[in-house]
Amino acid sequence: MFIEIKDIKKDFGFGDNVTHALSGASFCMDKGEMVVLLGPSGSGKSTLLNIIGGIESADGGSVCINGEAVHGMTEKERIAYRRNHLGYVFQSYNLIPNLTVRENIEVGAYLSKNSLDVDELLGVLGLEKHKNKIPSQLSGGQQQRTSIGRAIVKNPDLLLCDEPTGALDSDTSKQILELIEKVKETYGTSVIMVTHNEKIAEMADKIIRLKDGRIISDEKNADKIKAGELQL
Amino acid sequence: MRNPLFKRLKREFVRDIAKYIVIFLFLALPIALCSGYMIGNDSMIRTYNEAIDKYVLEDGHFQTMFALTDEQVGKIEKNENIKVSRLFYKDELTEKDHTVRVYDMADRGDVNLWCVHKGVMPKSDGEIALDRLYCENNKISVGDDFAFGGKTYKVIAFISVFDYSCLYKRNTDTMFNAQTFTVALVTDGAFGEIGDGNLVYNYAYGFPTKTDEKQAHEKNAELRKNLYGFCLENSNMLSDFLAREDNQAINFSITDIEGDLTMMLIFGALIVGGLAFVFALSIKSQIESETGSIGTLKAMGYGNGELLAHYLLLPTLVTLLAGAVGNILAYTVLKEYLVGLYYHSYSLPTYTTYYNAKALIFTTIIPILLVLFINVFILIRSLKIPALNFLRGDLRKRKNKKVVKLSQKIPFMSRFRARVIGQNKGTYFALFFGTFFACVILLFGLMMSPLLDHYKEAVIKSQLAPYQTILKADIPVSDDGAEKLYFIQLTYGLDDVMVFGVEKTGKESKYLADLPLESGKVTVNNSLYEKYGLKAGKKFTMKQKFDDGEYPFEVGKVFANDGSLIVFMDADYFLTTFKDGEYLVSYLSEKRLTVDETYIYKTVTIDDLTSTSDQLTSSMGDVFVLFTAFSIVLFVLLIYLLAKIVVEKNAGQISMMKILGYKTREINRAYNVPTGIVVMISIVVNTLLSQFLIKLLWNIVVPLRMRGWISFYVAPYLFPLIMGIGFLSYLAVYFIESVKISKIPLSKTLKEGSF
Repeated sequence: MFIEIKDIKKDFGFGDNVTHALSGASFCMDKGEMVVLLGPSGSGKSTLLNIIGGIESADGGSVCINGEAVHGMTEKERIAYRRNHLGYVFQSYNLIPNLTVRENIEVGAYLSKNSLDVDELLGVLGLEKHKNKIPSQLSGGQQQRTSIGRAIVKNPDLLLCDEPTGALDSDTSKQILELIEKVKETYGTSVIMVTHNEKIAEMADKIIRLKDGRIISDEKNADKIKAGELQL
Repeated sequence: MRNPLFKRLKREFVRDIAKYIVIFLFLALPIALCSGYMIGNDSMIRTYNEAIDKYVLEDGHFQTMFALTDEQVGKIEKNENIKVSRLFYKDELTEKDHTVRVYDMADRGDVNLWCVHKGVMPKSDGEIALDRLYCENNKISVGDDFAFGGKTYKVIAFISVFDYSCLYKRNTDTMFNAQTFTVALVTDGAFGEIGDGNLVYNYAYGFPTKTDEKQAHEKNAELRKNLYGFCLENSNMLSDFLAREDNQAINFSITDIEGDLTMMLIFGALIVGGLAFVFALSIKSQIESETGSIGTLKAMGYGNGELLAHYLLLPTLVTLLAGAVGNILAYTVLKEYLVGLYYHSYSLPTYTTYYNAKALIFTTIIPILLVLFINVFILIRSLKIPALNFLRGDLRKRKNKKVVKLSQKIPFMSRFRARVIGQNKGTYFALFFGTFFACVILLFGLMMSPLLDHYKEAVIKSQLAPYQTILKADIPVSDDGAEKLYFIQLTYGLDDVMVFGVEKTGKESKYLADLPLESGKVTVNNSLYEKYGLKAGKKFTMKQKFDDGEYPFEVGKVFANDGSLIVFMDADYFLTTFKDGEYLVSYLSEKRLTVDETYIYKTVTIDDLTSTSDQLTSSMGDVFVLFTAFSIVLFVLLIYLLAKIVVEKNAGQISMMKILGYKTREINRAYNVPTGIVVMISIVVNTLLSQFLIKLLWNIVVPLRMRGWISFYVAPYLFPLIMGIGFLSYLAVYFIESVKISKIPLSKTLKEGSF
């Protein structure tokens, strides 16, 4: 088992104002799989992703990735964990505005001793022509490609994507999802993707549905289709 | 309904308390300093001007080689329409070789009155009143014994006399000397008991009616010529003539005080100008960090006026508070301290504090209005951007700006830092400008002590002989090894220049073996060359001190000699240029000349030459410390405020980098080190620029403000020292910002989205 998540609990607020963001979420995934966390707004899917990514800590339960227990890590170990194993893609890209496309990808490459070749990756991402532009000179899709490049250039074991197409039109969204799929297949990267879009879930190996902080279903996707075939 | 945004103010204040404290200090300290200076300064100037009448200040004085008879005085008074008062003095030496200029109290009954600072005036012949500043410098108390000329007196009062508000022993001295020179008042009987060996026949004069500067100048020129002629006609010699307008002992203090005011206003204007720029950056950074909130408020229908009022309120309150605290400090602590600096340099009469509106306008109201204007301007300009752009976090005016291409051969982290510097160029420009200002003050504060030491060493090295004696008459001198020179004092520019006719040079001379002389030309010393640019081949004209005589010369050589301004020529050229009776003779010797003291006009010793640097070190020492301390505080505050802007501006990116797995150390290298690089480059460049600026100002201001010349010199060790101070200031800020970076939450980027 590549990832094993057991009984994760997370509350926000205090006293009467407490919100149970996660009330005992558990699931597993194998290496190289793509898992989609699907659910409406406020279901706890992003919180779960952040706990897996070591950005937030859980109030209870455990997260083990490749045999490493994330929940018991010190801050220093968490940094090393994020640095060595994870790649992040956000809805809002979060690129560094004063760096060029190439340099933004190098921000990720700097962290790894075995990073992918940046120029080769620019080709894979379709950003070769734009490599010397800064984010404000790019379209949303190009920015998200850059963000994906930054996440995968360090060749992470696990790619965490939080609504990666949330800010994009359907055609561009499909291109981005195809790219994530290509990355997964080319580099063997495991992917956990958060979305509220049922259609996107169709490209996953496994679909985990959340509602009000609980996992309501955890199923293998028998009808998996290619990203290019998605009807977004 | 009250603007609900105001409820955020307390939270915003607490959140940004460090920034507001720095801005408060940045405003309050210069306001306190400038306001304190202006209040103290203005009070001193008004006190000085009132003192002219209150203490019946002379319009000038003159000295004769021999005493004038009452009849001669009467003739002068009648012919020249002036009032002449006897004001003889005797220059006596103490055991420590300090000069005591003793006056008869009885002579100061109707001119140059005294001001008592402590004690009561002498009534018996064994009592003496001494200058307050000299006593402070030499730790003499009222009641102490004070001895000279074989007699001991009881110090019974500390006084100041307005004709020595600045203790110049001779008007030709480069600097006053309150360390080893004092004025003393004794009773008529005590004055008579002192031997007449060092008696100077000095007469003060006053015009019967008030004259303006132009009239006084014309009258003085006429009087000088007439007295010169009158003395020659009466077998006497006018040995000195000094109008009040030319008397450094009277004018130096007020010129200095007035000059300081100008300097302080320029200093204040520069600080406030720089501060306004920093303010602008700070408020811009705040708007950039709150684009989401502003966008939402604008979208909800909040008008620009309401937003403006909100964002303006805190800076306005902080600015007003800084103004109030600055003025309270100015009127209490600072004024006393800064006036104390003047009293530590000058023998001024007691002063009264005058409250003036000018200080409030210049040091408080204008800076506050300027800061507020800058804030309003930046805010109005920023708030004009549409709500949608705020919501998108896109406040840039030019979207397709050209990207500077950086070679991929440059390591990634170096390129990253270069981009950070490019992104924050406005902030770093402010840092460069601010460090330039801090460097100028710091260099000035640090350089003066070594400069004065260097000057002292150069002067000691340049001393022609252990004793240089000028005689009133060409009497036979039998001292072994004493070398004779011909001497006349001429004027050039503002200065008195000592002109020597040299009989022996080369191997024949013990003291002037290295002096180069050219026939028919003169040799100028290094001080004269540096001050007036008199290089070889340059022609110049010196003037007689007391009449219209002019003497054109050509410079042959420059002689490596510092200190007084000196011209040398061979004896033959000297004797053909000047008429008998115009000049005196001077001797260079190993020991004090063994001649009748009544023939000695002046003896120049090593103490006379080094007194300038000793006095400047004493009276300016506290100012140097103040300058150094202020500039270090400025360094730290400036670097802190601007480094803070860089880190806060990039907090979202820093949070993102943390998520990616960057360690705090690496983030510091990316965002904190660029500030360090800019600080160090700024300090290196600005230290050099400061040196050029100070040298330029030195060459402009010193010739206008100071007789003689002190060569500009910056001790080489100051460069690494300033860089070290700058680096340590940066390190302190690096540590603070490093802690701040480590505290930026990972969730910031998740909550705020794009940056």
